[in-house]
Amino acid sequence: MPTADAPLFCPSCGKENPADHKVCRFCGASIVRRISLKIVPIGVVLLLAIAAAHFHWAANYAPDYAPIPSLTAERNFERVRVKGRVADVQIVREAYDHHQVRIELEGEGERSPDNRISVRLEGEPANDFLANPGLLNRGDLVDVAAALYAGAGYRHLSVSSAQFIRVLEKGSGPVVGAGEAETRAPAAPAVRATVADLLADPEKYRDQVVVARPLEVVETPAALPFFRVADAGRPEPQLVVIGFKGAVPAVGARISVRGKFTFYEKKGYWELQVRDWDQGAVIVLPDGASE
Amino acid sequence: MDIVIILTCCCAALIGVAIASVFSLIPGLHIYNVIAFTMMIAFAAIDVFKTLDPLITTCFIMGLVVGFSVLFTVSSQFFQPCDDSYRSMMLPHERFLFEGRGYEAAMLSGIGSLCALLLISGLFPFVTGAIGVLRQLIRPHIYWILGLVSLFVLMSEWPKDHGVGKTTGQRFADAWVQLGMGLFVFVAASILGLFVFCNTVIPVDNAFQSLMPVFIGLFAIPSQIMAVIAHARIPKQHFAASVDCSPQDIARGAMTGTVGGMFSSLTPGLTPGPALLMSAHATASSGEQQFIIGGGTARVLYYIGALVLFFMPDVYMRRGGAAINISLFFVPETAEQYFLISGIIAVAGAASLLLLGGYSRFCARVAEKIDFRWISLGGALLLSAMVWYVTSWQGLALMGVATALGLVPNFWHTRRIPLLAVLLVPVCLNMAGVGNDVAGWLGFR
Amino acid sequence: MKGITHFLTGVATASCFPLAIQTAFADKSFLMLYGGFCGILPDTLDFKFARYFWKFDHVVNMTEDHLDAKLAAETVAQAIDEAAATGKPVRVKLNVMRLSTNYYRTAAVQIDGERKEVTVYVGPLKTMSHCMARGETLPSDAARYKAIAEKGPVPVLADIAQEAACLPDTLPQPEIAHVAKFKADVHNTYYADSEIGIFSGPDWQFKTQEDGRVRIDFIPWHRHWSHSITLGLLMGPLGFLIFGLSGWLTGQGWANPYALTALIMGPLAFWSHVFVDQLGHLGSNLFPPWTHWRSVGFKWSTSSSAFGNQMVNYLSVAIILWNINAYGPKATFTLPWAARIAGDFGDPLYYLVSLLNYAVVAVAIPVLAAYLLVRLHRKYIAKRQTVFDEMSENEDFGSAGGDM
Repeated sequence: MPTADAPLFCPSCGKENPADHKVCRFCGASIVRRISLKIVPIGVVLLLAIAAAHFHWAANYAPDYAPIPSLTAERNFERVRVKGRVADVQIVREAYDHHQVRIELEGEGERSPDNRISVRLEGEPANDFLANPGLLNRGDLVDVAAALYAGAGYRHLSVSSAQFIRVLEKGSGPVVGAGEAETRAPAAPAVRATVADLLADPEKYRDQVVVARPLEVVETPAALPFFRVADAGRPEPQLVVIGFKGAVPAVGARISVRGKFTFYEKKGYWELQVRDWDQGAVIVLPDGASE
Repeated sequence: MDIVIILTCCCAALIGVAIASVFSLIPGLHIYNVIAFTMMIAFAAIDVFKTLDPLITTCFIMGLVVGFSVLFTVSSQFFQPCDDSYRSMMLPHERFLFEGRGYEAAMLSGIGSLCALLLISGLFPFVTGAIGVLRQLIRPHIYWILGLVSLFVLMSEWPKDHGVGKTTGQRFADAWVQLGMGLFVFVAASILGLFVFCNTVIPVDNAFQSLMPVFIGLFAIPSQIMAVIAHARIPKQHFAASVDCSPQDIARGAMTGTVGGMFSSLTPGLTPGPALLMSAHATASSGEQQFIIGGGTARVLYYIGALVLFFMPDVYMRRGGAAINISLFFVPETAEQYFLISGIIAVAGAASLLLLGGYSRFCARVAEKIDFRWISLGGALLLSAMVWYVTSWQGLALMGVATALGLVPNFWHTRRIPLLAVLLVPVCLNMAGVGNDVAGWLGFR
Repeated sequence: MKGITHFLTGVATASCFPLAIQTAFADKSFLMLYGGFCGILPDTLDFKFARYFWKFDHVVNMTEDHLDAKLAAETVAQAIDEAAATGKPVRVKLNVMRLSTNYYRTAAVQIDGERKEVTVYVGPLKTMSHCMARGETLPSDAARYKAIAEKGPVPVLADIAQEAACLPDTLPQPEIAHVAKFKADVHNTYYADSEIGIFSGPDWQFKTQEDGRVRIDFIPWHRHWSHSITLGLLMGPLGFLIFGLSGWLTGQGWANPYALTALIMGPLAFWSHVFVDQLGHLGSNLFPPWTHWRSVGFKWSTSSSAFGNQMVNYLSVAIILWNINAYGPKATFTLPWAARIAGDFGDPLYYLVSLLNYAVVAVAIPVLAAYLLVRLHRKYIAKRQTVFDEMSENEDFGSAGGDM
């Protein structure tokens, strides 16, 4: 696309050239073979047209929902999208590391065992789900994107993030969530120990659930999910308590902590890992309390 | 998806582009540093951050990345000219600057960016399956692919002695001093990378930014130092209404950039530099225009293309600092979100390209009026302050070591690409499962 | 071909060994790297070592203050006659004329065997980019020789110099050129034209061959012993040593599967470089010490040909991806033709049908489409530029070599 620049001046560097030159004698740029920069606004218009098309699709995209009866062993490991109503929810809390949420979904149409499937969340997705009590009501119409696991005698959908369960329509059933909890494997009884005990013989308490009290909060770094504690009345040794998402007690507060005593490999120190769903994770003791 | 959400996301992206255009004025500042900074601010104001819709925050970050990838080389080009007395080769955009064609170079790069944006938003939706298959195919083989890239970087450096030495020894020495320093840079950068991967010398609070002082020290600060000591004068710049290139140059440059950009976006640990080196050779790219256009295409494909892979159905690949930071608070779930993100990229790209012309003129005027040495000095101080703030004195020390290494290519006329061994080699060794062993031999574990 | 092309052919060769692919899932060895190393090694040996130890009998240094075309032309011509008279090889080099980081004074050098003339024409200033773009604008050899027969070499070289990419108005004034004559009969194994351009200047070896003619070898140190089948044999023991040592250190022993694979893979990857180079004009000395001359290339392409490099690279990547898919524990993609056949890549029939499908869909069709596109582009959009308009209708693009 030839330019409309003046032929005597190089369109690239602006210096004057003899009239018959096709190439600038100063910068070597071609004076005749050029492309107009109008190509950029043309490209911008193209981009905006493409954007409009994408937004149209985003607004009107109809997901290709797989009928629940079609989710058979032949489609094992496929990533599918289903729509169904929440028929039942089971929440299983286990000690610290493993939780499972099972949502029974009923597909639209006839009620039959084939038209029902279990949606499972485990580990972090389950924790995320549990962190949002009131997410689901029985009867909610939900859209689930998940991987299908189906074989001889089993069939369920496994969700890798709680965000992949979207409520399309609220039902009128009761809320399911944090209030309903079944602990399948009861939490192992907690062991009483002081910080001094723990750090004097850490291998003895490794990976056990321990309760330590009374402790005193020694340090609370800002915007970080851990704080340091020591046995009440003894500033050393100190122990890191991590995982508590609530309001951290102030420095000097006397508290009780229940958590798993474990070794943090990367930095090389021992710590107490608490879980915020554990009501007894961090308890501020009344003044004067020693037990 | 509601049209209100779409429009809100567009606004967030445009705000991101605007902020990116400001940060892009600082030569040497990398977008991943800006995103990390943003995340730090977000963590500090977590209560406010949590109230924002993650999708809108994602679109804001997308706007940052798009704006930055289109605009950020403009400032480096105008504010960090080279001094050809200590260079064996001048890159095309540097030569253009000294001929008063800096604006043209910026626009050529913009044309390359445009090609990449059209590719990402116009073509990618139709090839998600193929990209997914390609990713699955090469996934177990990344370690040797990175090994191949490292080997090629080492073996492809050709001597720049011009063969004019009088004796065999002179000619050999002319060549091998330079090649030897290239080898030294590669090995030293590898060792530095292994050290940083195995040891967190910076405070644990910001350990997720452990590579920041290294990269700033290896690349940004040396460029600024060289600019400060350069004996160069930037002539008056001419603002062309057209560019010296042909449709064939655009096609071939875009092809080179596409190959390099896609290669780097699909391969963890690989940045556009070595990928573009290989793709330029592989596509027999010739001419300065193809080089500049290819660079623009590769850069955009790397930063934006890698990020869009995170949202692409059938792929969902977390690649690059931006995707990793986004994944902290957002997980893409649906095809509608991918279409939205794709549209946002197109909108942000359009805005960035509209800004490019005026932005380049502004930078050219600033470069004419303000001595680029002061700008580079200011940039160096700002980056150093940022490193100190994020990573404390330990990070500054690390940056100092990296800077010393980053200056070697400038003074021994070797390429800067071997510096990327700081990332290539540790990632390659770790993926091969021998990273710990090698680190152990070096005494880092 | 470019370095990356040879590198990729070496890697593609390595990928044909199942162990090199399967190791990615098991022991994570670096066999593929050895393939790439062997693929690029010949040029590394030449450009980083051999050329520095090559001694020249005559070196001409022209500088911007002393542009002596007569010295350059006479030196080359006299070297040809000296070789004819003494029977010994004579080596000549013309050094580059670098003015600054970016600018070079160029000179065209033509050795015309028919007219027995050496012409040196000092040309314009060029940047590196101009020098690299040179090959895309030159007229064909046939057109040039016809014009030389009519006008003589200097005016023809002057026309070419002004048409080629350069900084205009930078020709020396007055014109600096010289034509030197020689007496010997010559056999030129490469192009008649060279250029004193960038990086390192042109050099030749003149040596009397058995039939009495003086053989002209351009950059004689290149593709001599380094690009030979003979040297390739050594890549086997070298690979065995490397992977054997690695195996010994890790307790697998010297004769581990990787070392044994490298014994065969190394030579094959090395020879892939030799084979690809044979496609061009400059062949290789294939069996030293038994052979002494470089063979003649097939002249299908040139080292800087964009199309040639791209097609070889595409083929290499296609081979690598095919092997990754075929030799992995589970195929990532299944070809449509093979979908109807029961079995997997372990079954010969399934493998062959899949390979045929892949060869057609992923290789033949795209390569053919690209070839047609380039031919159409050349014919209708970007005619090869010539200084002789009446010749352009009769241009046979195929005989010109290089970029299609």
